[in-house]
Amino acid sequence: MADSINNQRRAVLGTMLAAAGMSVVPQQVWAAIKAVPESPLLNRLCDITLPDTDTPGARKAGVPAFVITAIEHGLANCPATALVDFNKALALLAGKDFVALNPQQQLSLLTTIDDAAFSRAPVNHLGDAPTLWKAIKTLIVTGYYTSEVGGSQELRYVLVPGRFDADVPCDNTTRAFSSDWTGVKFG
Amino acid sequence: MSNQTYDAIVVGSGITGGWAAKTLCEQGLRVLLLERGRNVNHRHDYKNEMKAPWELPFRGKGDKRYLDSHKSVQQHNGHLDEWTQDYWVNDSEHPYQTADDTAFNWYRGYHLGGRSIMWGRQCYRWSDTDFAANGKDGHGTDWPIRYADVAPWYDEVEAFIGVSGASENLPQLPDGQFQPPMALTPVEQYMREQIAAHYPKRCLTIGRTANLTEAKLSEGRVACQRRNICGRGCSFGAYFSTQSSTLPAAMATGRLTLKTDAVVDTVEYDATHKKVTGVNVINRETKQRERYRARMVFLCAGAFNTVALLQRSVSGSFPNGLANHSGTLGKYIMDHASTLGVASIMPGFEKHYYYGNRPTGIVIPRFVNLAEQSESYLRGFSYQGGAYRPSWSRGTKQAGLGEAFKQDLRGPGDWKFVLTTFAECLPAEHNAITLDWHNKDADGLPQLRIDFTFGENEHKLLRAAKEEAAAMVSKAGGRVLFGSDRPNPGGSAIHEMGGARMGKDKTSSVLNAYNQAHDIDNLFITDGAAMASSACQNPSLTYMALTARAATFAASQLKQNKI
Repeated sequence: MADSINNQRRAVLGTMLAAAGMSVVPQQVWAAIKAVPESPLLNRLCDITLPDTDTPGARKAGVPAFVITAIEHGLANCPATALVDFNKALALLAGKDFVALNPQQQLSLLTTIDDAAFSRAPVNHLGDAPTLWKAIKTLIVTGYYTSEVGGSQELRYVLVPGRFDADVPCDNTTRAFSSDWTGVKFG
Repeated sequence: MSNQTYDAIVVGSGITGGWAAKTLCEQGLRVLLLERGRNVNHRHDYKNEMKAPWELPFRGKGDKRYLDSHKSVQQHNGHLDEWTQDYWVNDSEHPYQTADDTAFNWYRGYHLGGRSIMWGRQCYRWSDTDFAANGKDGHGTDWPIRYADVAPWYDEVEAFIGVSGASENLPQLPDGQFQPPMALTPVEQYMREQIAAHYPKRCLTIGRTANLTEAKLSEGRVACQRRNICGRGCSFGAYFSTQSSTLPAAMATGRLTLKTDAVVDTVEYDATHKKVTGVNVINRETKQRERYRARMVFLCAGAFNTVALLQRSVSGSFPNGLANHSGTLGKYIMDHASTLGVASIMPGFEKHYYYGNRPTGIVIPRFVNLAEQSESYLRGFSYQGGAYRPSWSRGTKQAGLGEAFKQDLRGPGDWKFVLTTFAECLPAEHNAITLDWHNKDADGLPQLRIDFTFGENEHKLLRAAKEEAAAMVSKAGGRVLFGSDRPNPGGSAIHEMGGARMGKDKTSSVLNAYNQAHDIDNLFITDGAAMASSACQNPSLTYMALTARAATFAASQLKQNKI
């Protein structure tokens, strides 16, 4: 079922993109992008990475659908099989399906992988899990802060500032701007 | 096609084509402006300008599959994103060749306004340090002009396009007609003071940028709104582009005819009268051929495309390319050697942030080999960069999960201070463009073959720049994260220039001191092709000044029937 939906989506996207040369974005592309199948694993990964707090988290912000689309289209150089491969890698490490673990076990395993993914020293016993996670996490974070919730509720989005104040006070309650294009581009 | 003979044809509608059209029209001439690409109407066609990331299918990142197939080269330039991607050429339709074991990223846009839509807007005068360099050390041919020849035209261009900046009284980077400067952030101000304290001959100053800090309402241009999304097109008309500035001025004269989708194949030459008579055009839509006639022709197609146009225009008189009796056409091409000189963290400013997006960084003008040749390398380098606080994207590069991770990304990250090096590129004969007559592009034109490598002097400059950048940061208490002395591929600075250089001697150059072909007195080339050296600062302002100067000269000559 999911495969046939994916094939359909690819066909629609391919045709539309070829016809449009991407100079316009037809409604059909949007419709195809929104008709993304669910992934229980991805939903959990989104919840764990960027949970609901006083603002909605990644899952409620629609990040899973973005991640699936992004993987299909090669964003962040994420391999096309990243989710499937990561699911397998997790199962190998956990001894059972990741989604069948309790939340504490899930967090614990993902924390181990996350630490390894951003550490300079390779952690051999985790296999390719850290590499796959790095790519998937990039897409989750990107998907969240470029969503309306992440970009304009969690952070501040100001399209037309109208002025540049070079020096304004900042404390631990100050929110960053998702519309600080330099701060976003160069991280 | 048309029986009308124009006073002048201008090929290309970008930064220089717009200036040629405006100047010639204002001198009373009837001008035909030809643009190879589609029309882009000011405001109306800036389709993505106001869109948020969540209003784009790929959130501003673009569809990598599409980029790989259609923008295989263009996607590597930092100005291209999902908002701006349509302004960069489709590489599958406009391929080019590079010589074996060389790389050149040729970034360009084929549409009305050309790269004036997407340019970096940095405007720096050249000084006699630059204009005298070739003559002094023997690389390239001596420029036939000096600063005094160009200064009044810099004045005119700056005043018209609107350049904000700070006067610093630096001989190597002359001050201009500036609108009020944009402010330095606390870290940049601190670095300015630190650099001045440790290095009396060095100066960090705010970028001189073609963004209005004061409106030019009579021209329909509003002051900059500090969005820093200029490359999408600006409905406020707050930065200089053909659309916001020169095209309306040319149109207002009532003497401009504009044709888009008009790819100029060749320039026609009349061997009897030794003059160009017009151009042959391929209509991009219909593929029909059309001819347009004029009393003189200005080539402003962008340096490499101007060279290729001349190379296509072969005849019995000019078997190796039009106006190429010197044999130097296509040779001595350049691009600044650029790389990330230093990236650093600057501690101590955690209680400071900013509001709004300043559409320029800072500049540290050249400080080596000025009064005398004191270094082991020739010429010099400058830096552009600035300070900022990383936003959410740092979350893709760090460990963290859950509430604490989300809370951390809610605030701005540590202040960073970065400097990109721009090193002067010596003119070298082997850096050259030729035509590949066997491989054609979508318009049926032979592809360019670009043969370009950076030389030892460029590498030396980047090595020195890396060391100096790290030293400046360290002395100010910054922590160096990264620094490079490896040049980005040629073309990365998007300052490609040369190929039809100016010179005093017609046996070793294509153009004279007025951008007029030595061989053909009614042919002018005023884009980057004319450059005889590269200096280490952004060249567009100089292209514009040379264009205004040449067009004024040409109009005068035409009126006196001297050409």
